Amino acid sequence: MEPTTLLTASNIITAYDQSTILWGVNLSVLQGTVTTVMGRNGVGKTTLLKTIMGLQKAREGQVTFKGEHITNLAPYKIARAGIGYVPQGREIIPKLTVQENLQLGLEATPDYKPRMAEEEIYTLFPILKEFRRRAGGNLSGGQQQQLAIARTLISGPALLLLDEPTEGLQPSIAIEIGDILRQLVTTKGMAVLLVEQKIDFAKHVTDYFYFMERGKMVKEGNAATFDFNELQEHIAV
Amino acid sequence: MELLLKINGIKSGKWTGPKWLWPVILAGAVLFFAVRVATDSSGTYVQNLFSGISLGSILILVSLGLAIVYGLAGIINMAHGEFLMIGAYTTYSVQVFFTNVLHVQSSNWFFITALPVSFIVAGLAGLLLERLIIRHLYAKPLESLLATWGVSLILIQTARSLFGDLTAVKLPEMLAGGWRVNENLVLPYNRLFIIALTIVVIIALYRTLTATRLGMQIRAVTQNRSMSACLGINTKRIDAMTFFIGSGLAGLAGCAMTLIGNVVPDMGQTYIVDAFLTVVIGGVGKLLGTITAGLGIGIFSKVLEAFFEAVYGKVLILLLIMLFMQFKPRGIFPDKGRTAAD
Ligand SMILES: Nc1ncnc2c1ncn2[C@@H]1O[C@H](COP(=O)(O)OP(=O)(O)OP(=O)(O)O)[C@@H](O)[C@H]1O
Ligand SMILES: [Mg+2]
Repeated sequence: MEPTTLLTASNIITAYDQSTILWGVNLSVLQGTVTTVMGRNGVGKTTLLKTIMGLQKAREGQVTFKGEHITNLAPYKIARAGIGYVPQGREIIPKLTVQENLQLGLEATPDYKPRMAEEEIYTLFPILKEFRRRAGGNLSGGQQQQLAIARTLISGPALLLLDEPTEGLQPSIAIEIGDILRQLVTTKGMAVLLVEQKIDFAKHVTDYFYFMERGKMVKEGNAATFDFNELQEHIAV
Repeated sequence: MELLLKINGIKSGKWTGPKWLWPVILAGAVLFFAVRVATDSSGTYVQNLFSGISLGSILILVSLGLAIVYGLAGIINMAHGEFLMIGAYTTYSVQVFFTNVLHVQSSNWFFITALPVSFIVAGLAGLLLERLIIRHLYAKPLESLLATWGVSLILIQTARSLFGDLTAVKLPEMLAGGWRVNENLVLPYNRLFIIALTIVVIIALYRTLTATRLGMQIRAVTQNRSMSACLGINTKRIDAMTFFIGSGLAGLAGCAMTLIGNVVPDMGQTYIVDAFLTVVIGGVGKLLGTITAGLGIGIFSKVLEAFFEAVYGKVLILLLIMLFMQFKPRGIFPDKGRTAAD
């Protein structure tokens, strides 16, 4: 069966005041796959995710999700439509406990009921159970990363936006998170749009690659056929 | 100079002195009060202390509202004091309605009705202010300061032309008189009621913030607005709700104020400065700090005013507060650990 397209971004142009960052981005994410955007620092990867999430307004272009237009909707509506966002800085609510942070994930559901049981979350991320009464701000970077992912999973999103989840993590934890992502994609049919700079990690989890340069996609392809040597040259420049 | 700094425990604006100093000062103050109270044959001292506590209670009611609004929206609402005034005039209007329209003789019922009504009316006024003006001025501290100041002047003038310069609300019968502790000391029921009301409000607010979904939404938006939105929280709705609750609390304070004073158009102005001080000293966004600071300022005001003339009392308090802020710039109960960084 041909997988259906979950998210498309077409010809997205986004600017901060006078400086245009995205110059007509095109991208699509298929159901049940991990799509990865790579590119050097400052090319606009985070800006793309923010535009999809409605945090930054697109000047032009369209974002569709499950066939519906979601361009420039308020972020809370986009979250409720089924897109979970794990931002680059993790953005854990610092003075809420781990458990309260998890509970915040329920805000994206219409009925305030978990789509993934708390126990299931704790089996994926055992450390969160141990620290559930601690203030979120007191967790380490890796623990906060796990919490940020868990917080979105609890609402059962159809699509997960992950912005450099392995930044600052030790390799073993990065691999662990990669395995969990793959597991969720295969067992739950979830889709992931990943922004990543570490080629090894990206290769480990990705189905389809995009390569971004100065606000545009310049290269794309299946993980199996993507030419990483050329890409490495790009990144090295 | 170096030595002086060391003695004072001040180093680059940070308190490095012994940890036990503040508790000792606090204990000393409590002891001082206790001795004065024990040796106080005329009862005036306890009376002052008691007036201070009830004044502090009103200050707490006003400041709590100011604190949660400031914590959430980051704007200083200069019109916050006018919600107190609105609450007081609402109480007056309810009284007029009860006596002139419903012809209720007992003065108890109007007051019982006025409590929730003043909360709601002031809350709605706050909501309106947020929707019409402040909403457009988030992240513009100076503009919002000026705009709300303008609103406050308009509200005062409106009240003056509607109600005149001075109005008084009848003391409800049930709150007349007082509790005779001994022959020298009578604790008036109206002041006892204000203290009880404040305690109830504190508990209710604490429960709301810690144990309800709305409370968690408010705390989340206060700490990280954009991430809260990305998790599915309608932040505009939370802004509106918070303004409603915060302004409503000031309105409730205004209703309580009618028990101990006249209703005048600029009554909010008297309290707003003290309320700002309370919020600053208590530490922004800290319920416990706000409560302690409100009580402290209330008591110190009354006691010092009893010792010195009112004006000097005020000056002394300001001096004490400036000194305090030198030592504890982050309020009474500063954050500890990693969360302190933000
Ligand atoms: N809030 C902002 N206001 C103005 N310019 C911004 C803002 N945020 C980002 N930029 C600029 O937009 C460009 C793209 O930033 P963006 O964060 O999208 O890059 P990125 O690809 O995610 O980089 P990195 O790999 O370092 O995370 C950068 O030049 C940055 O300076
Ligand atoms: Mg980025």
